[in-house]
Amino acid sequence: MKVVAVTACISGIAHTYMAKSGIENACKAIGASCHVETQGAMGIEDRIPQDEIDAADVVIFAVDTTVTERDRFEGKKVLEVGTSECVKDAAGVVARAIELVG
Amino acid sequence: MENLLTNDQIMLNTVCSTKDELFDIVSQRAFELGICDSADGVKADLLARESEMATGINCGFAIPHTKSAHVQHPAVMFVRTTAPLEWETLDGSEVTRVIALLVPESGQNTHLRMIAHLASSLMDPEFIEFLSAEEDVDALREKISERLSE
Repeated sequence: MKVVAVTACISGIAHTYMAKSGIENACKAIGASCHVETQGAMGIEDRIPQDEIDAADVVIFAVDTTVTERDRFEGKKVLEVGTSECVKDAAGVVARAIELVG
Repeated sequence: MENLLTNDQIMLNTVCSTKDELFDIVSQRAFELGICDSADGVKADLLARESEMATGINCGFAIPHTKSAHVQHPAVMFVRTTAPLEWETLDGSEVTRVIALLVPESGQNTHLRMIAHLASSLMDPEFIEFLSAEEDVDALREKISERLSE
């Protein structure tokens, strides 16, 4: 299972990175591969290359604000949640994302 | 490299009964240490961010933060309160452990990155346990500083 994700919170200082950490740990726990791009106060970091987006089974947007360059993900199955949900229960969020794609 | 954390920024056994009082204590200490140019100013900015989305997370922790024109240099403050504070949290717990993150408006990437590392560490149950239980301020400062630079 290939998961890609974008995290972006309001201030871009804390929740963006906690959500990333949560998603990464949750994917690791179930053996899913995972690439998480952050869109925080430092701008886009760990940018997901287009070929990885194309190859991904599912996309998670853990965001409290708009996703920059969202068009890269056009046509993909996306689960959109708030960053807090990933801080609270990243395993649950990842499970829901995987359910989206059967 | 500027120090984001000194022993004076770690306050254990702090007496206060509300979130508002906690913000007073943090802002006042930040002002005394020259971290901000106005206690009222930084408190208002912390409250503004808090009202957009509450910063209570899990296990009695909250991470109020602000990118503020009043902040002179980036700083981390760690407060443990003697009594639980009412605070909107993800797991419904009351807050007794507060990590306040103060960043200048023109936050430099080096410092933002350090704070990002620390934020990520708050997802590590071992680190949370350590922050909750450790009594030695030097040990706390060292361990938090480690997590800033990882």
